[in-house]
Formats: sequence, structure tokens, C-alpha cells
Amino acid sequence: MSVLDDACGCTLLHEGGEARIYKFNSGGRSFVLKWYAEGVRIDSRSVEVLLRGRFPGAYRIFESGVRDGRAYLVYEFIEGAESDTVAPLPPAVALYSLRKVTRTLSDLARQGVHHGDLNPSNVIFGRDGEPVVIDCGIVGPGAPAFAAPERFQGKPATEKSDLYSLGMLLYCWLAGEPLLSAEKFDAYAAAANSADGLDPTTLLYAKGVGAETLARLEPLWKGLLRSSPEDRVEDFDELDELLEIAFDAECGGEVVWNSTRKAFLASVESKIGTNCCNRGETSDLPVAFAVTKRTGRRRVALLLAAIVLILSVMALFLLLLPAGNSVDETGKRMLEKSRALETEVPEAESPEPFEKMPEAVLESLPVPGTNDGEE
Amino acid sequence: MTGRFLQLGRLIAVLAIAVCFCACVEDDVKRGNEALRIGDYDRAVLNFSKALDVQPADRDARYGLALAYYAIAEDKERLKGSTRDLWERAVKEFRILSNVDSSGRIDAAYSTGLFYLARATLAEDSRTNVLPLLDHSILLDTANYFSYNLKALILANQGRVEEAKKIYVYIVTKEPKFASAYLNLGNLYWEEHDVESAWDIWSMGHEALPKDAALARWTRVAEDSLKAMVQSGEL
Repeated sequence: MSVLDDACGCTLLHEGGEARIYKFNSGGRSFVLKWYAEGVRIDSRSVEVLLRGRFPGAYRIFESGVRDGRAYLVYEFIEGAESDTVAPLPPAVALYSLRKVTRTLSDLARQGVHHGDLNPSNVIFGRDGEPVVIDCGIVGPGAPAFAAPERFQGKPATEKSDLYSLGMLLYCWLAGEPLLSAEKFDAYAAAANSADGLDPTTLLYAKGVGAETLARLEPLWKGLLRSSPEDRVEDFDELDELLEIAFDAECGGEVVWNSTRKAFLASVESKIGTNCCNRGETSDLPVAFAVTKRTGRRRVALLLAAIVLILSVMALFLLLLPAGNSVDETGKRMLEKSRALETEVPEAESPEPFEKMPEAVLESLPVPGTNDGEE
Repeated sequence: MTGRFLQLGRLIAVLAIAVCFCACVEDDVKRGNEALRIGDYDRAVLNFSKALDVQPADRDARYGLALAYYAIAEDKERLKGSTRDLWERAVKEFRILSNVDSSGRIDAAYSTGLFYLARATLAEDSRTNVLPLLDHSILLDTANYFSYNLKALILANQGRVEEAKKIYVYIVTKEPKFASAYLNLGNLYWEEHDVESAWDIWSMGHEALPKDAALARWTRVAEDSLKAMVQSGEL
């Protein structure tokens, strides 16, 4: 049974070129329906893995398919705020969160799944402040400001390309804006190809990030923001180590960290629910997903109809079954017997050559069902 | 909500009772049919009537009752007693049944019942006009040649010989094994002293039904007559 069957309280969250995103309730839980635009393809392997398994820090897909020639996904609704809405983040929070995301991506990578479209909109901070990665497996470069150079060349997502995107994501979280900004797709591609020349440290310094923090971040930029995949860190595990080192130095001890985190949670809390493009007004699911909702009254009507149907079938069975093979058959047999034509008529005892035929016409009638009609 | 469930409960109860009624009626019909099949016609009448007391429009019960009366009348027919009342009773049931069942499945039996009634009526009073009964019978079942045959006999008796002949010809064309039609048609020619035509018809019947003793006999009679006529120079 599809969760869409009992969908109610639908809200349009987002409408863009890539997809329309709806939130709806079903069975007491909230879900997201992401209906991709025509031509947008999603990696079936990624969807399959996320349908089957549960990965901490990653969204859970409940249903996937195609409606009206367009792919769709149904996944759990993450109560929280898109990460770009709460940026800039305190460096310690950004490092902590990026480490969480890295671990999630590492788990997925072990299943052969690479995200391919890591950007601030695809990381949601929940009420507990933990990041949740959504929208895995898009086919295509993804958000241009965050896409690795090789992705612009049409290459599939890899661990290395995701590592580059993580670097871009970290910068965005710290700066509150993407590192790359361009008018056209080609310009983004060119900028990504020159990633080695980017200077996030200077830019962040201009935004007020402290020198010590910048120094702690430096190894990350060197290991992530590289145009050549070979120049990037080896894998997620290596990145995790770098992030651990940076975080430990940045968090400032348990008390400071708790205080920083508390302020961050308050910031997330204030942004929850701002991701609805029609301000929470109820919307209808697309026609392609419309289902007959079984309200209480309808359920009663359906139950009633089912009972009536069963009783009708029983009554028909009782009434019609014998009609075909009992009284009608008996009648048929009786009629056949009645109408049996005489094939042999006993000869009169003493025929007279020139006698007149009997006058009593009735006697000359064959009596149906007897052999003595002709006398 | 409670009220709705109460209504639902009532509806289900009504439907259940209706089904029970159907089942009871069905049992009576079943028993009636069993009785009918083994020749226990009085018991068949009893059971079918019981079913009709509960459900007067029950098609099977009504058909069963009509057939039971039909069987009783037909039984009496073989004893050569008066059967008019019995056939009237059977035909009445068929008439009621025709209001319940317009499928055409009962028409042949109803048609034969009307034929029997017409004949039983004539047996009691040969002046009674039974042609409407026979026409109704033929209308119900155009393959009921018994009704055609009786109609032709009545027409011939009324002096409408040519009409009668046409009917006989129709019968033997449609049903070449219907011996009475040959006999009666030959008889008409015989009475007109058209021995040759009479022989034609009877011999044709004899050919179609070589085991029919009456046809064999009257074919011989006509042959002998023709021979005698040749010998006497009449032919």
C-alpha cells in the first residue's frame, strides 16, 4: 500500500525547474513528495539502496516511481531548516556538521552510492541540530556552485567529486554564501576548473573569521578544493581525520561547545517551517497522484457496499443456481416426453379397403406422450 | 456515528432475513422439484404452493406448480377421462407465470398446455370455439405442430378445407415425421374422392415413417382403391 493512498494536509514546499516538492501527511507521519521535472533523471541504484536500508544522517526513501513520464520520490519529511537558511554557522558547528555529513556519505559510499548534488539545500538541520542529507543520486552535475570540475564534463558522481562539494559546502556554511558565483553554467565550469586558485581563507578573513580558525581550516581547503580529483584527500576517512583535528581545536572545550551548540539550535528552531513556498497553505497533490481518500463516511459506505455485494451474490447464487438445472430441467424433460412423436402406430385390427376414414377427428390426433393416439 | 452503525445493523439484519426467506423458499422449491421428478405430483403441488405462499412471485415455484398441474392433467389424459378442469388449472398457472417470467423459457410448456386445454374442451363440447386458444399456443411456440394439426382439423370441420390443407402441408414440410398431418391431409383428399392425391400423401408419409401402421394401412387402402378404379375403367 502506498503512503500516497492516505495522503492529506498537502503543502507545496518548493517549485523549481528541477522538481516540485510537496509535504503531506499519511498515517500520522509527514512525508515529502518530490516530483521531478520532465527529463530529470535519478540514479536508480541510489534510490534502491535508500529504499532498502537505513543510513544515519541520510533521509529515508519510502517510495519511488514514475507518474506521467516524470520520476518521483516519496521520502520522510525532515522537520528542520535547510542549512543555507541558518548560515553562516559558527566554525565549530560547521566542522561538527560537516563531519557528520562525511560519515553519512562514507556509509553510502560503501553501498556504492555517491550523492552527486551536495549543496546547502540538500542538508537539513533537524530540531536536534543534526544534519540530514537528502536528494541523493541525481544524474547531472547538480548545483553548479558546488559541483566538482569533472562533473561538468559529464562524469558520474564519485567519492572524490563529493569531497570537492563538501569543501564548497563548508565554505558556504562559514561564509553564508557560495564560494563561486557566476551568471552562466559555463562560467561555473571554468571557475571549478580553476579551483586551485581559489582563496577561501582571504575571503573568510574579510568576513571576520578569526586567524586561528582560518589556520585550522587551511588543510581542509587544500585537501578539498582542488580541480584535479587526484589532488584531493584520499577518501572520506581522511577527511574525517582532518575535520576531527580542526574541530577539536575549534570547539573550545565542552562548556564553550555546549553554549555554541545551544545558540545554533535556537537559530535552527527559528528557521523551521520557512521552507514552504505557499506559507503553509493547504495545496492539492498533483492530479497524477490523486487518490480516492477513504473518509470515515466512505469507509462505512464501502463496508456497506461490500456486505450488500456479498449478500447479493449469495442470494443470486441461491436463486439462480437451481433455476439452471432443476425446475427448468424437469420441465424440459416433461415437455420432451409430451411431444414425443409417434413412430409406430398399431395397425387397426380389420382394415376395410374402401372404408371411410373415421369421422371423429379428435381420435386421429396423436396424444403427446402416448403411443395410442391413432386408433 | 452510533446512529449510522445502528442503521447499518438494521440494513444488514433486513438483508440477512431476506436471504433466509430466499433460502426457505428455495428449500420448498427443491423439495417440490424432487417430488415432481419422481411422479409425486400432489406433494409437488404442496411444496410449490408453500413456496408461493411466502413468495408469490417466485418464478421457479410458480413454474413448478404449473408443471405439477400439467403432469396431473396429462396423467388423467391417459385414462381418457375428462381433463378440462385440470388443464384449465395448469394453464391458469402458466398465465400467472408468464407475468413473472418473460424470458421465453416457459413458452413451449405453456403452448402445449393450451393445446391440451383446447383438445379437452373440444372433447367435452365439440362446438366450442377453441381457435383462440390454439392461435395463442402457436404464437407462444411456432414449432408446436400439435396445435397446428388440431387447428387444421377444426378448420376442415368448419368447411375451410383449403386452409386446413395449407396447414397440413406446412406441418409435413417443417416436421416430416408428424404422421397425423399425412393421415389427416390424405383423409381430406379421400373425402373429396381424390384417391390419387390421398395415395400420394399417405405414401409420402409411409416413406417418411415406414413403421407407422396407420400410414401403411391407408397407403394400401388407397393403392387397392386405385387398382380397383383402373380395373373398373374409372381411371
